[in-house]
Amino acid sequence: MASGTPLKFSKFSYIFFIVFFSVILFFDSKNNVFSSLRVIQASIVITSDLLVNQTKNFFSSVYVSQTEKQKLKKEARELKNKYEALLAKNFFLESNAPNIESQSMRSNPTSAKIVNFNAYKYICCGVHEMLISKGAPLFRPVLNASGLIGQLVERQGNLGKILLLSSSKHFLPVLIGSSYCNASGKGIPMTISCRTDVSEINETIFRGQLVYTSGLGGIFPKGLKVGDVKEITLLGDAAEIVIELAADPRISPNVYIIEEA
Amino acid sequence: MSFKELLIINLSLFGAYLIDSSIISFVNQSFVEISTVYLVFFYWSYAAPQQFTLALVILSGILLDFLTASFIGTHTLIFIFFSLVFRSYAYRLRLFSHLQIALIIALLSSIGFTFKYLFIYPEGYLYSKLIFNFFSTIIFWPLIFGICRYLRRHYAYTIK
Repeated sequence: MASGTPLKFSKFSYIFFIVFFSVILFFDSKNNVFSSLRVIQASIVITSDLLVNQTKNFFSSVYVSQTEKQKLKKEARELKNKYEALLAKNFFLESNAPNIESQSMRSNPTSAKIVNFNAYKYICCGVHEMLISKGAPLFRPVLNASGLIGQLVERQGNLGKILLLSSSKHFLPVLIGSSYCNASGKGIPMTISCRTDVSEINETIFRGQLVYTSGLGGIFPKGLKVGDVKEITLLGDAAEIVIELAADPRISPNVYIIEEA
Repeated sequence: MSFKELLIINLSLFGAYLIDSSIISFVNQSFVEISTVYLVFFYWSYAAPQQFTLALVILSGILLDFLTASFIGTHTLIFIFFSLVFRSYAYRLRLFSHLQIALIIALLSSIGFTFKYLFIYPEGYLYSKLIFNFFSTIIFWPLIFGICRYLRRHYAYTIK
C-alpha cells in the first residue's frame, strides 16, 4: 500500500495538542465557552431541515395532485365513454323510432376505438375512411355519440375499415318526408346530396327538414336519423337536395357498430 | 497533497457523518450507533499517514465537533490520539491480517466511543451501545476499506 510512510515524526506536537484540546474540552464542558458555535450549528440544522421538509412537502403535494389528476382524468374518460355509449343507444330513440324494424338493434351496440383517421384527407379529398379497432361482420352501420357516421366495408386483420357517409364512394337511399332519394357523399365533410325528379317529390321539402334512412339499401334500417336538408337547388325538371349530416366523425374516438341489423 | 485530495478526504468524512446520522435517525434504537466516521478516519490514517497530517486531523476533528454540536475537542482529541497510534505503528499494522486489523480498529473505536460517552456524555452511555459499536465496526470495516481504497486509487492516486 503506502510506500513512503515515515517511521519518525514529532510525537511532541501530538502530545501538545492532546493537552491543548483537553484544556479546551474541559472549559467548554464546564463553562460552555463555545456555546455560540453550537447555537450556529443548531440554527443551520433547523434551517436545512425546514428547507428540506418544505421542498419535500412541495414535491409530495405535486405528486399527490398529479396522481389525483390522473385518477380524475381516468374517471372522466370512463364517464365520457359511458355517456357516449348511452348517447349512441339513445340515438335510436331520438330517431323515428316506430319505423325501426329490428327491435334487437335497441340492444347495446358493440363499441370500438378509432385507430386511424386522416383528418386532413377528410377535409381535402373525396374518399373518407377510418380504421377502427374491431373487425366486426361487414356491411354493418356504424355510429358515434352524435349519430350515424358510415358503414363497415372491409376487414384488415383485427381492424375494420369504415366508409363514411360523406365519402364520394358512399351511397345511401334516404327518406325526406315521404319522398325517396338516392343520396351519395360529395367528398365534403358532413355533407351528402341527392338528385331527384321534381315529379317524384310527393310533398314540399323545406330547409331544415329531417332526413331519415329509407331502409332500401339493405344495410341501414329504416328510420334512422341522417341529418337535415341544407339546400335545395332546382335544375330544370330535377332538384338537387344537399343534406347536412347530423353526425360528425371527428368528435370522439369511440364508435359503435350495430351488429344485428 | 493537492486540493482535490484534501477535498476527497474531507468529503469522505462528511459522507460518513451523514451515513451515521441517517442510520441513527432511521433505526431509532437506543443501542444503535455506528461509527462510520471513525472507520473512514482509520482508513486514511492507515493508508496515508504521511498525507493525513496533524493539521488535517485537527481540522477534521473540529469540523466533526461542530457538525455534531459536541463540546469542542471531543472528536478532535479522539482523532489526535488515533492518529498518534496509527503513525507510531503504521508499518507494523500492515503485517497483520485484515481480521486482526478489524479487531484492532474495533478496539480503538470502542476506546474513542467510551471516552466520548463516559467522560463527556455519561447520560448517553449504554453497554449495549458499546457492544453494538464494537461488532458493527468489525463488520463494516471491510466495506469502508474497499470503498475508501477505491476512492483513493481512482480519485486520489497520488496518495501512496
